[in-house]
Amino acid sequence: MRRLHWVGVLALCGCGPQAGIWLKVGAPLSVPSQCDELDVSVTRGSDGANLLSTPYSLTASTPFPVTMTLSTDDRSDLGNPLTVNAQGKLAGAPVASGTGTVTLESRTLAPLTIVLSAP
Amino acid sequence: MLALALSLMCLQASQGNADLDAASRAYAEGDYQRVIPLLHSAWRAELWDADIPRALELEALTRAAFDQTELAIEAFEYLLAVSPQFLPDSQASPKVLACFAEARRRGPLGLLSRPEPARPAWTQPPPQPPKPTEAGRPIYQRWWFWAGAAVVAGAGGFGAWEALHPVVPSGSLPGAQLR
Repeated sequence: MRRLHWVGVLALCGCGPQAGIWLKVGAPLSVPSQCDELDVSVTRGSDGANLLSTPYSLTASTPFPVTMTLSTDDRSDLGNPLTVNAQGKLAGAPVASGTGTVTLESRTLAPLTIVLSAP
Repeated sequence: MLALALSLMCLQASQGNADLDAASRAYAEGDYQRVIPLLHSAWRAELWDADIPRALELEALTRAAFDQTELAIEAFEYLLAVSPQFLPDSQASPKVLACFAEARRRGPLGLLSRPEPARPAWTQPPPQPPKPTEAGRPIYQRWWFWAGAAVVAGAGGFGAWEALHPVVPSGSLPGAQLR
């Protein structure tokens, strides 16, 4: 974890994004037979504003756990708790979901791990 | 070894003789300022015994020409020690004759007691301009200026590289930007 923070600090120095989330989503599901899509959404805790809602297609080359970087250049996102929701789907139907909360810090890549479970 | 030592001595004496010849030519040409340095060089390189009177005479005449009376008299005293029958040229200047007369009055000196010839002021190297002190040097001639510039340049280069090559991990899925 400390190493990831260090990488994040280095990564966000200079002209890079203000902050970011290093998101790791795990699930006891095989891809794509049990889950072929992952929806990721981010909402701001203070006002419930939707900051991100992105579907990802999962293939055999992207098994769980999957990782991604969610970055922001908006300083107003800093210091506010953000709720990250991840939902796994199979043929469009939800099969598992999970939620996590993270607070962004300036020039830091905050790690967040979400494990999907059946609804 | 003996042959080598003899060869070395001959070589030194030859060098001394060459310097003495050069001093004689300089004196004949009126280039008096070169005479004494050449004589000193000849003495250091070593002279044949036969050349010693000529060297002392040249030194005495040159010293007299520069009004270095005591040194001229001293040279004549040494000259009388090695060549008691020496007489200056009858056409020599009154200064030379006076120095020689004074040397005859004082008596000859022994060569073994001859001190290292002092270098007259005109044979001294010209005064060197004072070396610039640390405080007087311009800033770009100081080591710490260039060291600091190198550090700043290195830091700037690293920062630019970092800015142009962000190392944010990409993850197994594409990244996204929050609105």
